[in-house]
Amino acid sequence: MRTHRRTVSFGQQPRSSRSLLESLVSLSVLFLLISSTGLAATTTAPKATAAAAARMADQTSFGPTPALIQHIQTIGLSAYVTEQLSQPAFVVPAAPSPVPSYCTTQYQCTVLPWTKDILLGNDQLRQRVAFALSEIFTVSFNDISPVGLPAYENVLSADAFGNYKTLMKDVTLNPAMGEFLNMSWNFKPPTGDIADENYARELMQLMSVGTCRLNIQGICQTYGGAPVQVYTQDQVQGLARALTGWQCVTGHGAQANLVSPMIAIESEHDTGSKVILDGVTIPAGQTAEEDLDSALSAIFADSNVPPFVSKLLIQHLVTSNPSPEYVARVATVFENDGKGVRGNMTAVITAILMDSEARAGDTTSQQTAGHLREPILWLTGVVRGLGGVPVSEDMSQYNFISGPLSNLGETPFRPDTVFSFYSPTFEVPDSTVLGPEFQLETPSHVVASLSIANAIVYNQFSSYVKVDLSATSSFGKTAATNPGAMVDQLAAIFLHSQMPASMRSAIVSLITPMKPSDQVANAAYLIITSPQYKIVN
Amino acid sequence: MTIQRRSFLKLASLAAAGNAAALNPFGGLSALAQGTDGSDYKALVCILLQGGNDGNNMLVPGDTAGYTQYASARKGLALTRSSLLGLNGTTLTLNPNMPEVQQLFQKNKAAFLLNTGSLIAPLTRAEYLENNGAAPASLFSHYDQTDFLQTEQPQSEDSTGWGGRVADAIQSTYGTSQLPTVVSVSGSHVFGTGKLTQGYTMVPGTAANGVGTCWEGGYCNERLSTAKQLLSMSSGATLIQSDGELTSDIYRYASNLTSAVASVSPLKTPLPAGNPLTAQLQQIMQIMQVKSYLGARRQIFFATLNGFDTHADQLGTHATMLANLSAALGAFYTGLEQMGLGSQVTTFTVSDFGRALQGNSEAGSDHAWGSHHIILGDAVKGGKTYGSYPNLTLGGPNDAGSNGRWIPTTSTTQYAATLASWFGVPEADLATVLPLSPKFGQTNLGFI
Repeated sequence: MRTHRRTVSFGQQPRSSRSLLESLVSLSVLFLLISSTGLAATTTAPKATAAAAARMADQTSFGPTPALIQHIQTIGLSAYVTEQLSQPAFVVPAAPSPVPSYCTTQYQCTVLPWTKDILLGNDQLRQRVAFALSEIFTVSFNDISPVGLPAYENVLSADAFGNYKTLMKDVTLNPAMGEFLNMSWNFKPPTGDIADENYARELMQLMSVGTCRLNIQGICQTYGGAPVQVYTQDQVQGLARALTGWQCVTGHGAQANLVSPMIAIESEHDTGSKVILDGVTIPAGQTAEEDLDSALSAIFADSNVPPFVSKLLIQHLVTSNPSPEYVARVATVFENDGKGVRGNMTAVITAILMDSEARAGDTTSQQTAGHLREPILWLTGVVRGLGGVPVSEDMSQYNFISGPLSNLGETPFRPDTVFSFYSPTFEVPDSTVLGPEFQLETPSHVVASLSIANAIVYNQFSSYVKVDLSATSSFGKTAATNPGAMVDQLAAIFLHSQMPASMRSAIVSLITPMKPSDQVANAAYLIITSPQYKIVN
Repeated sequence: MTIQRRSFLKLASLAAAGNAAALNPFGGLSALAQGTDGSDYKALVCILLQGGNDGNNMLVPGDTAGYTQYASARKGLALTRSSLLGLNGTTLTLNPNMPEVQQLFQKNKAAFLLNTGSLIAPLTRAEYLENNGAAPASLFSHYDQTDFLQTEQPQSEDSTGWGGRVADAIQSTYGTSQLPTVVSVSGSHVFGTGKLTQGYTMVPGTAANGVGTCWEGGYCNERLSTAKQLLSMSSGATLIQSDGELTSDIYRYASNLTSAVASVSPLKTPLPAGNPLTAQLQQIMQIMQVKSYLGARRQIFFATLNGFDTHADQLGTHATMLANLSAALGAFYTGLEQMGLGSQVTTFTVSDFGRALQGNSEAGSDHAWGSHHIILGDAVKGGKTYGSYPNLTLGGPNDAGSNGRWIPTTSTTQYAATLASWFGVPEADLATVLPLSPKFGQTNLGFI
């Protein structure tokens, strides 16, 4: 079942072929256009309201910009999603060797190009989904050398719009994952020892089925008050044996090749029969790859995969608390994309974004909808929304991102554990609603965000990224004649043109006595630090 | 949020007391601790050994028969017998990387609680094999078992942790602090969430950060006032409202803490440099240092030492982890003694689970169940072990299967109940704070 209406795709720009400079030029042109004529003055009737376009941008990118909102309004929501789904992935390159001075460490030199892409690249939705996947198929590049980061991130972005089973296999054989969860070097155990269960357990618990039997709505089933378990300890041990016999192309630990997929060493594979998930028997005598395929087929066929994965993706892109019906609608598409294909991510993502529940907020505020912006999305959203631009082509300009993000508790690709930065089941304190990202909304992180916000609005955040909110900026010029209009301009970007009237009047009354540059800085600060912005809803 | 606020008047007089302490950090506080203001103070410090500490290699049988059985099951993971540290009065020996803990045990300041883990009721091997449902759900899963040890409720039905429920229970008597009772220095955990009270979470070293920088001058106060106004605007959207309330509390508590730490000179702590627990324990001591300023008479802290998930190449990694733990515990104890808080602070370890006795294909060990824990402080009846050491027979009476995953013979609920009683939770409230406790006959294990 596909819930979205297909529309004819037209007006699609060849955005992927543009250079960074061209993108920036067009961005500033759009800024000028907007500031001089206002958003409503487009020549053809918009296909989406400013609110709908900004909400869609928030669900599909690293933050709305005036240009993106305009583009979505021009081509319409559905055409925009279709356009994004056809964007090729930005390929994260290996860090230069030796590590150059402008990025100083292997980690920095690898994360910088990724940062640049999520700030300015055109494969926004693909990278958003890949980012969500990095919090599901988690590798921490604290424990694993960042040399492995490009190959890992590139698997996630390449497979983000492919089939979930392909993604599972590619991640399983990714050497960084192999080293992180010990599938690499998990050889046939000597008598008296057992196979390493680490990857076998987490593949099921975190990346495919979870621990509790779910219905199609993603609701945990209970029996006698206790959750019905999806698999037994014996089945974990069976799967661990099925996954024996793999290693990196060369080396192990600090010497491991973290670039090429792992390879099988048949003599180290346990060829006995195994009983795994759902009582599936893997016959004796298969090769390591045959066992892997049998195991992944059994896992992929389990009825938990569609609701489990669908709910996680909905939580990352749209709302922490989807209705059971929303989960079921998406899970049904996961089961069958309408052409008999299970696990078609393109269909699943389309179903998530075009669902009536995802779109309801375009017109009416929804009481339980939305999710907290995690630190990476908050910071990129602020920088993109305020038109932060690099002052040169030197990559070091993006160095600003990992230091502040460390203070906010979310250093990219470096969570503490395989459970990533926050748990999908974390509840908002003092409530009964889910708020996974609230696990990072701690006093220290909130206080750090206030300092970062202050630095950004006064253009003192980084010597490499310019955020111009001065009297001569488009915001400043608007403020000079009409402070309220400038607040509306910010609200169009950050609050989907849905700023509550009470919030608007509080901000306007504060800034009215100020000079234009202070008006912009203070209004921007108040908006980007407000719960109304931090919650994407 | 029901944390009570004290009047500014009272706060001002406490600030003066805090300033006096600043002149002589340890001596000053020491005097306070024995005086009328500081004498009624207790703190629990929970250290989560994240990943699942291999208790089998922390406490090893010291007698020949026991060691032989251990070594034959552990094979390559077995510690050399001659390297193990003796523990007076027991047949058990300690991991060679834990000399500080050994000394504290010998001085009767530390105790071990044996084969303790998650249970919903006492459980035998026969009962478990007949009905897995008699055990907590999702055994051997990091997430679920870490959740269980924090919530001590089978299904985490109301999403509260036992630390938070203890804070609830003492709130009417001790709820005078300018900071929530439970403070985590290692991320948000359900442990500190109560029905009535919320925990506080901070990154170590950020106590002085206030509510953010505003260096432009001129409009700082006005801007802060408008920011607070935005937090309280009711939007009808649940998450916006929640974030507003949460952030309001953060503004208030962060300011309180900043004022408090500004009132004293920094502590000269003896904690070891380069130890992953140092910053967290230092932060805990800094908050204890200003307990009088804050008006805090009961505090619970939550710290984490990560890295115990030793699936591969365990021996070297585990040695480092335990060496760090031991050195940090030893120095922390010394620091607390210097502050005059030796008998008022009790430190204890918890972990996701223990690890299988049988090793795995990568010279590591896999997720198991019951494990051994450390309790430290002058109030502890130390120099002893509590609970029963498991029978190390693979497939034997304590084994959940055939790999040496011990069915706990003491529950973490009993562990928590004993600590909660010492902390001041009335006997009558124990069943509310720890709803599983009536399932276990003994709710006070006697180690404190």
